[in-house]
Amino acid sequence: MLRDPPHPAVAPRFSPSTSKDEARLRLRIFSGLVIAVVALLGVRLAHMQLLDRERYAVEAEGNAIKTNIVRPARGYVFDRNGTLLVDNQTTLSITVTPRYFDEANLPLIARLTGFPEADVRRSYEQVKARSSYQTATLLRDVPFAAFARLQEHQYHLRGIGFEESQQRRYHGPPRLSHVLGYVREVSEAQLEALQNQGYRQGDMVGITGIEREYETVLRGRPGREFVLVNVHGMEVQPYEGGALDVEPQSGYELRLTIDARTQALAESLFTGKRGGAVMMDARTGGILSMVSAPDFEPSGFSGRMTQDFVDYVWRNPAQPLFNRATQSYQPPGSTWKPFMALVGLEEGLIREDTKLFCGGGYFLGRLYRCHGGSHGWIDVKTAIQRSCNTFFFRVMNDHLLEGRRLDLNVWATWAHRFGFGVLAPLDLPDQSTGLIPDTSYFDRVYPAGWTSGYTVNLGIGQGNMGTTPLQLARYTAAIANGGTLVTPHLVREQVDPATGVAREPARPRPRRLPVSPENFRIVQRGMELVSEAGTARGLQIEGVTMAAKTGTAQNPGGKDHSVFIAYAPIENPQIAIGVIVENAGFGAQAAGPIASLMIEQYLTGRIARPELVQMVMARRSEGDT
Amino acid sequence: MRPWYKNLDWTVLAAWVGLVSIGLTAIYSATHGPAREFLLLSVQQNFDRQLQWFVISAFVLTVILFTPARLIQRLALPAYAGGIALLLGALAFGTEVNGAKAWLYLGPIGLQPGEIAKVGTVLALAFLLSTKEARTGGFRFVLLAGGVVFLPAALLLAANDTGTALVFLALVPVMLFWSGLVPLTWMALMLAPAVAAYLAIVSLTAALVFAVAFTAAMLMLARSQAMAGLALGVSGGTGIAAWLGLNKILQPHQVGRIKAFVDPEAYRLTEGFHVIQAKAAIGSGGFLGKGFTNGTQTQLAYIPEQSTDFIFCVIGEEFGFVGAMVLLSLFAWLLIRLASVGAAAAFSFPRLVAAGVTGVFLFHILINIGMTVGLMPVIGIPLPLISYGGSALLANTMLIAITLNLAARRDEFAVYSG
Repeated sequence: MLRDPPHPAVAPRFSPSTSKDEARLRLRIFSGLVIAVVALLGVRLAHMQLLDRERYAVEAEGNAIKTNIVRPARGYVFDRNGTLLVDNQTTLSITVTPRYFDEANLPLIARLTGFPEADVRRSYEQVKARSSYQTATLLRDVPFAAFARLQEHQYHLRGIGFEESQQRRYHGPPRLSHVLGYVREVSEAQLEALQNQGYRQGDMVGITGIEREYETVLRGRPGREFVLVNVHGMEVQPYEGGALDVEPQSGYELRLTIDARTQALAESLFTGKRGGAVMMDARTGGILSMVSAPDFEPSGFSGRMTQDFVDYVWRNPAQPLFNRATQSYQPPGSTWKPFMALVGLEEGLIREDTKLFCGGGYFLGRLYRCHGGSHGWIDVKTAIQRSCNTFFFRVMNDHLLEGRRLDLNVWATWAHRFGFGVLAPLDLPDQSTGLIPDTSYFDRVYPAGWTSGYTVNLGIGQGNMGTTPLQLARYTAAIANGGTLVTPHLVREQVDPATGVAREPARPRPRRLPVSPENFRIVQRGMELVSEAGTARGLQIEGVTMAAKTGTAQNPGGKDHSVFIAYAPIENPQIAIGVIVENAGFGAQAAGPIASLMIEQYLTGRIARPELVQMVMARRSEGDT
Repeated sequence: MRPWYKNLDWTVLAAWVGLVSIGLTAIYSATHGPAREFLLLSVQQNFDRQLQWFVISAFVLTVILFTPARLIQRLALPAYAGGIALLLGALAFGTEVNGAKAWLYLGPIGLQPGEIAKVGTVLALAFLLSTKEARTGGFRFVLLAGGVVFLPAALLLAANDTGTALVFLALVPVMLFWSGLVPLTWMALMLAPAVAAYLAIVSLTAALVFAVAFTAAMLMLARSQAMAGLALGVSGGTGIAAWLGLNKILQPHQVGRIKAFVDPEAYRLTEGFHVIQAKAAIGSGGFLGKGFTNGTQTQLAYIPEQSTDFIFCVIGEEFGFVGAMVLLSLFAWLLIRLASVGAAAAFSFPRLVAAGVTGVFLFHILINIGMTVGLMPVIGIPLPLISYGGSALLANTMLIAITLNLAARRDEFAVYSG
């Protein structure tokens, strides 16, 4: 055996070395190397698995745990008597996971569901283009029968699944289109603004009506569901068996002030007409009925819209989406006269017993004719009863008691006090102010100058002014209740579906008008006479006393608009109503009968005058717009 | 003279059984747990096939244990030639998997010639370095040994299987070290470039500091300015070359593959993804692990190749630190025992075989586990006895069996070898 030097490392020569000692040294070095490698890995593992476990666990969970938002059920809507108006229905969607799906089955799916094959294929291509692994909706709103057929074939339709979603379901009549409004899937543009409120792609959002106004209340609170997803984003199973999931909270139920039966009647009475009506509780402002015609079927917005529906709603000159009860304004015509009477009395231009002479017209540059010939010497109550134009032209334009004359801006201020020319504090998103002119308005519109000839017409509710049916009803309510300008509203209370606790939405307080009760009494009497022996005497309701005023808004472009205001019963006014029917003639021809029938329905619960219904139904708004 | 079976180290066999069992358990979890439905049909069958290969390997192990030691020594060169033939066959007729022509199909059986060729190469290298000629032949034999290793390594590089080629290259320093043909200073010179290159990936400064320190150490130990100069040249040169290659020459995706382990977040969506997921799997396993078939990273398929190259993630995630340490301990025991029983032999051939076998195993373990814990670049080589792969299991079992055989017959050996 050869003996090697004790330090082989310093021997720079190539020599065989087989000594036992050296072998032992090499074994020691080598074992040390093995231990070093194992120790290195062990220390690294201890660091990762014992010290930094939390950090890696967060990374792993961030990978695997996906949070799904569970949409809450949108709140139901009821009328004032608890009649269900809107709830939700479950609709079925077919989903597909392209990776597991055999494209050769597309024609089969089209055949089983009845969808056109081209549509199915286009939808499939879109899903596949996004991700092969992600499960996505292939077909929406699949009828249940189609779903059942598909289910029978599911065993050989790998990659096909089903998903439930919710859709608004309407229980009309009444349709209540403009009150309820509609919901749609939130758009990209809306999403930008709503994202920080927790909205996500596919959520529904109220677009108009109370669906929009009460969106935050109706929507509910979304729940959360934690699922495990694999590297491809596929959901595999609930995380921790669903123990950490948060249930969604359904939206609040809304109880409206609407009376479904009166509303349904009013909607049918408006058949073939354009116009709007608002009937409210004269004491509270709760809206019992709000009609705008033409209207639309709210369910048309649920799910996929048909082309017919789209054409009807958006390519229609009559603009069914436009709320004529709150957005459309017309000159009020003679329904303005009670207002003029109150202003004249309050401003000291006339007194209860002041008689003005009507010689069949009023001369200001030209003759403004009074209908019904000459009324002679006439007081304010009779002027309302007989709808004397001359009387109110003079209140508007003449120097009367003690030489006082009504200033245009004072007139406009009074109009504003009664809620004209301003927005009402109503719980609907879409409203128009109407038009109440003042001197600055005329200066702007007639920069060359204007005279009292421009404003005298305002005394009889014609000319450069406009009011909405909502404003008319609110003003009538103020007359009826003797001076309280109520806050109109549609939602009486919102109910937490979990606890059943109801609460009233916050509303501005009603306003007290600076008008003496005596003066209201005078005007009320005038309106009672309209119904008893005036222009509305043909509209009397069996067993119900009514105060009213007819109006005809002159329309130079076509047939006059029919306008009507009323409240009832006289002894204890409960309801006030304002109606405008476009291009339908005198107030007593269209708007009056509609109001009369609505009051009858609400106060007596029935209709005793079928022939009047026939008459109203037969009447049409003329012209195209 | 004790019969061979009385010299047999049964603890090594026990470690072998233990490791293969852990491997089968992990493969089962990766292919029969909830992850199964996302796997290709061929991957789903990995457990069953590995079980078959286990039976085959156990049979081959038994046969080898009963084979005379002399015969094994004689078969060294033919085995090497056979390995080279398989590698050539793979280059010519092989099937490409993941970009490497690493598979050769003989009828229904798929083989990885790179794995099989290890056996012949270790034997041939041991054979060459243990001959009398080697002891007197000096440097010529060092070059010859290098050639024996470079041939299969070159064929594997040609087949684009860089990882396995590196395993062969790692054999050279290990076996030269054990052969005693090369002094330790030269060994250090051979290893220094690897260390310098590794450090250069992490940081150029670290590589340069290492080069200076290494040069100083050589100057003190070898007391030769020539050696010191050489040391500075190989370590500093390699470090700078590696840095230049990474920063100036290679394409971004190639750099990404190499550097991803240093800063996986920087390559999160590309080359770093697997490193991040592998580390998340192991780290989130914690002390006791998430339980058999309960690892989210494993079962939700966040780990690639989880029954083969990334199998350690399954163990780390589902069996935690405890499971990983049991595995590492078995490996440590296996390697130290194999080296010891080899070292106990009086003659070069068994010692060198043992050295080669343990060297191959150690390199595999360091690179494979190092890759999953973010210490090593992602190099696709399997974890011995654990990863799915029939050829590898068979080859690794043969290596262990041959070492045990030669060690058990160390007394017998003297009769045949002088």
